[in-house]
Amino acid sequence: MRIASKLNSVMLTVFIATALINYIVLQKTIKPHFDGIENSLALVNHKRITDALDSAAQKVSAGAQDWGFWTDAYNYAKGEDRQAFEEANLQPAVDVVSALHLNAMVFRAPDGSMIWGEAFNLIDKSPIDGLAQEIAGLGYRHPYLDGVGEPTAKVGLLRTSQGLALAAVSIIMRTDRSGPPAGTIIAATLLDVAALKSLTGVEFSFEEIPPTGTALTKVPVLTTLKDTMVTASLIPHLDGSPLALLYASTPRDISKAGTSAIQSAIWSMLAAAAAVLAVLWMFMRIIVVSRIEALKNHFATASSGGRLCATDHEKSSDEIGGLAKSFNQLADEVNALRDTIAENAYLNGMSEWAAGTLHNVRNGLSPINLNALMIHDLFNAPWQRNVKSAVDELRFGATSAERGEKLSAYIISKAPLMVENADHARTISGEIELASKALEEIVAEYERFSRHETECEEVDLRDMIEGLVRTDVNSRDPQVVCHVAEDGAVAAANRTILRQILVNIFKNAVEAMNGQAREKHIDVQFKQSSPPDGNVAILISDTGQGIAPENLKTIFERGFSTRPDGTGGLGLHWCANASRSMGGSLYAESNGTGAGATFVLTLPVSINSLKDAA
Amino acid sequence: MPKSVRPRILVADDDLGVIAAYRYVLESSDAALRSDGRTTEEILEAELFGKSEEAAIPPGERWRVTFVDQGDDAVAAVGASLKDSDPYSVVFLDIRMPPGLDGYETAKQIRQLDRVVHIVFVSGFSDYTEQALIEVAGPSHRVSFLPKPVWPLQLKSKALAVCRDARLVSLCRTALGNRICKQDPAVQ
Repeated sequence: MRIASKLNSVMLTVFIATALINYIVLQKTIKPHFDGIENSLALVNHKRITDALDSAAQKVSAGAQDWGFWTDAYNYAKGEDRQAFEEANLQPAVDVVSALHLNAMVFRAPDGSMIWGEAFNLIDKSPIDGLAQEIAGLGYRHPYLDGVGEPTAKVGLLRTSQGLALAAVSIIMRTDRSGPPAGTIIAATLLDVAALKSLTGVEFSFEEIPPTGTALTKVPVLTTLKDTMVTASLIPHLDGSPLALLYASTPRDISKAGTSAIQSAIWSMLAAAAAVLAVLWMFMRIIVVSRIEALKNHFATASSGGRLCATDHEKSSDEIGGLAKSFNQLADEVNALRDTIAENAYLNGMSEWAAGTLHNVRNGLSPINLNALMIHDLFNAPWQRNVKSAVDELRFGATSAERGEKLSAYIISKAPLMVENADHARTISGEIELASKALEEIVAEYERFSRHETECEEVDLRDMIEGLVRTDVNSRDPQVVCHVAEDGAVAAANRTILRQILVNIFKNAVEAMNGQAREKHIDVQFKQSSPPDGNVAILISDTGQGIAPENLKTIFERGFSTRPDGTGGLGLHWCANASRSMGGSLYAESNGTGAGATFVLTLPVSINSLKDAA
Repeated sequence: MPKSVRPRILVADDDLGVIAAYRYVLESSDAALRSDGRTTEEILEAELFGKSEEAAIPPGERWRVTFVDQGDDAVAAVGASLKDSDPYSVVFLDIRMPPGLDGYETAKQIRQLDRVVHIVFVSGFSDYTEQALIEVAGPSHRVSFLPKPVWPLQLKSKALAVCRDARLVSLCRTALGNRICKQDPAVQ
C-alpha cells in the first residue's frame, strides 16, 4: 500500500474515531444532565398542578371559613331567625355563591342535614340542580364536630355528578370561636381542568382509579416515554381516601434540545477535526508524501541511463534529506564499482587475449620444432654416415681399387639424395622463417591491441568483413552462406579492436548455427543513422538458435562471455565495452529461441564524429 | 582381442602445424614399413658397410594413427573403435578446438565410452587445471599431459610409453580373461 493511501487511511480512522469518541463522551456526560433537567421539570410540572389545586382549595377554604366563623351564621345554623338571615345574607343566592368564586355552598346541621344550599354555574350563573343536595349528602363529617382536632377547614377533592370539585368543610362557630360547633359550611367549586391547564401550562388529566387499586401515592412517579415524560400521583378524597389519579405530561423538549445540541456539537467538532486533518493531510503530502514519491520515482529511473543518477533531494535537513543523501553516496559507490567492473572486464578481456596469444605462440612453435627435427633427421640418416665413411676411406684410407670404385659408385649414387636433402633443407628453413614471422605477427597483434586507446583510423567495413568471412566463417564452417551488402560503409575505429569485435560476433553466429539441420546463413547490412548523427550501424544476422528475450541484455554482462577461440576471442561484455570506447555501441535483437539473432554494432562515421562522441 | 599387434593412436587437434608434427613422428615408421624390397644401392651399401639400420623399425614404434580436428569427431572415432573391437590405445587430445567440444568435454565423453584408453592432454594454454582434467578423464594413471610446443621426441617417447602399458593391459586381458580384468580396479 502506498504511503499516501496509508496516510489517507490513518486520517480517516482518526476522523471516525474522533467522531465516535465525541459522541460517546457527549452521550455519557452531557445527555444525562439534560435528562436530569427534564425529569426535574416533569416533577415540577406535576407539583405545579398539585400546588394549583392546593391554592384553589385554600381559596375555597378561606371562603368557607369566612362564613363559618361568624356569629350570625352560627345563630342561623342554630335555627335562630333563619328567614331573616337568609333574606339578609343569602339572597340572591347566586350572588352569594358566585361572589366567593364558588359553584356551591351548603349549610349543614351537625346531624348532616342540609340547612341551606345552592349551586350555580359560574359562567352563566344558571343553577346546577341537585349539586347542593349532592354535596350536602357528603358522607364526610368534620372531626371537630366530635371534638377531635382543630376547627380549621378541611379541604380536598370530591367526586360529584358534575365532575371533580374542590371542597372545603368549615365548622360553623361564633366569631370568637366560642361555643360548640353549630354545624358545617361546605364550599365547593367545580374543578376547571382547562383553566388549570391554562394556569399551570401543563397538560394533565384525572383518571379513575382502576378496580384493582393502585400502587401510586401522593408522591409522583416519573415514567419516561419516547416524546413525553409522564408523572402520576394519587389524588385523595376530602376524607383522605383515594379519589383519582393525576397524570401530568411534560414534552421531552429538553432532551430533544440536548440531543440536538450534542449532534450540533459533534458536527461542529467533526467539521473542526476535518479541517484540522485536511490541513495536516495537506502538509503531510507536501512535506513527506510528495517528497517520498519524488524520491521513489527518482529511484525507479535512476539506473535507466546505465549509471545511477544522484538526486537533489538531499538539500533538506530532515530524514528524507538524509535518505536522499545516503542514496547519493550509494550511487557514487555503485557507479565507481561499475567503472571498476568495466575496467576489470576490459582487463579480463586483455588477459583472455593474452592467454589466446600464448596458446597461438605455442602452437606456432610446434612447426618450428618439427622443421628443426626434420633438418636434423635429414642430415643424420645412416647413409650419410656411410657416405662420410666412404669419403674418408677414399681420402685417407688404404683401399683396394675395386673397393675404391665401389665406394665412388656409392658416393655418386647418393649424390642426388644429397642434393635433394639440401633442397629439402632449404625448403624447411623457409618454412621456419614463415613460422617465425607468423609468431611475430601474433605478438605484434597483441601489442597493437594493448595500445588501442590511442589508435583510430577510417576503416572500410565491407573490406574488413569480407576478409573475416573468408578467414573466420568459411574456415570454421564451410556450410555457412554469407552475404555482405553491396553498399559498403566507412567507420572510424581502431582496426585491431574492431576486427576482434567482428571476429567474436561471427564466431558466435557460427556457433549458434552449429549442428542445425536448416540452412546456415549470415547476412551483413550497413545502415547510416537517420537523422544523420555521424554513426553507421553494422547489422550481422544469423539463422541460428536465437536469443531468449530475457537474455538480450544479460549476454553483454560479465559471465555470459563466450569461450575464447584460438585467435584470442573475447566475451560480448568486452566487445560491448570496446565498442563504447570507440564511441559506438553493441546490442542484440532476436525474436526468441530458434529465430536467429541480429547483432547491431554502431560506430562513428568519421574521426571527427569519434571526437564529438568522446 | 585387437585385430593387429600395432597399437592404434587417435590424435585430436585443429592446428595444422601441430598435426604435421604428429604425422612426422607417428607415421614415419608406418611409411618405413610400407617400403618395397632392397634396391641396387641398398645392396651395394650392404656390401660396403653391412646391413642398413633404416629397415630396422622397432616393433613398438609401429602405430596406426587416426587424425581428427574436432572433439565430437574424436568421440565418434572412439565409439567406432570399440564397436569394431579395435580400441585405441591412446588419445592425444588438444584442449582448445573451436567451434565444437573442447578437450575437457571430449575427454569426459571418451572416458564414459572407454575406461581403458590413455588420454594425453596436449595444450598450449589450458583453461582447466590438471586436477579438473583428471577428474573427468581419470583414473590418474590413465591420464598424461604434454605441453605445447610439441617436441617430436617427447611425443614419440610418450607414445611409446603409453602404448607399451596398453600392450601389457591387452596381454593381461588375454591371459587372465576379460572377466577378471574387469573385476580388478587396478587393471582397469
